[in-house]
Amino acid sequence: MICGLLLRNDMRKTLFIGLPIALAILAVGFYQAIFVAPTEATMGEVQRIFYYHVPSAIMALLFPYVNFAASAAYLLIRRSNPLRAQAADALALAAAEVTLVFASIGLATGMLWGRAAWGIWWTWDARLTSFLMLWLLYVSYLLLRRFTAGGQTQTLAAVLSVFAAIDVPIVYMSIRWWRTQHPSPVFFGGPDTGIDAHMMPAFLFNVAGWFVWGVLLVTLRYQLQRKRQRAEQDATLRALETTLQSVR
Amino acid sequence: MGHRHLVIAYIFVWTLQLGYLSSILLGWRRLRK
Repeated sequence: MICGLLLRNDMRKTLFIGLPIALAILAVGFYQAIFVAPTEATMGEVQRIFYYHVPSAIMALLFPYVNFAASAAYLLIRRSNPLRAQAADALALAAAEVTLVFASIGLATGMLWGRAAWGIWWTWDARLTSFLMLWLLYVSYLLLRRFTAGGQTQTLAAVLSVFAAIDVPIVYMSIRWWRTQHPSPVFFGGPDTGIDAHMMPAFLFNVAGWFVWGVLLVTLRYQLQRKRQRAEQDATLRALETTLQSVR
Repeated sequence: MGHRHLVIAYIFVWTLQLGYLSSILLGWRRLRK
């Protein structure tokens, strides 16, 4: 369905199908997180930040791979198939912006939670520092695209996205490789890890909801970028026609 | 103290996400004009 929508480039259809589904799952997730999930024993109510912080951080580690795959496709086909390469570039840009939104949320909610739970806003441990690096890499990626001129912008951005993709496994493994202020892995961390079974629905609904929301945003942003590319191509063609007519 | 941080976090998340969605929709509207 998503591929079909991407190909047809119909933003209205994407919005009318995707938005109600995403909002419905997120509404259930919100209800579960605030009203159903039990209050954590040591941290109290502030632990409910977990239900937005962790899913957002997961999305911030997932969408860089969409950006990376699209950038790699752009680098591979930019000479052999320049028109299709523009589609890959539009997808890379969409995924980068959505990554930055989720990474900003991961950072901000983490800081708010840290302040309440540890008494500090920030510490330079491996998880926080590598995640801040990921955020800075995507800020650089978007600044590069916005403020450089010339024909190499897309290629340079695609190369930068490779560095961002390398940082993702470092962020994921940081709490496994090093002792950090950030808690040890809650999931896939071996025996004696995990959360209370009563907290799982709130967590899973929010992961699913933010995933659908992220896919919706990437699809809409991709479709907008494709429309912009076509508008620019049309404008260039019109300018060329006018020049040719004036020469004749 | 915990309540205040929780409320700020949830408001921040929705403000940023809806703000970004709005920016895409505004871009779409500007292009259609």
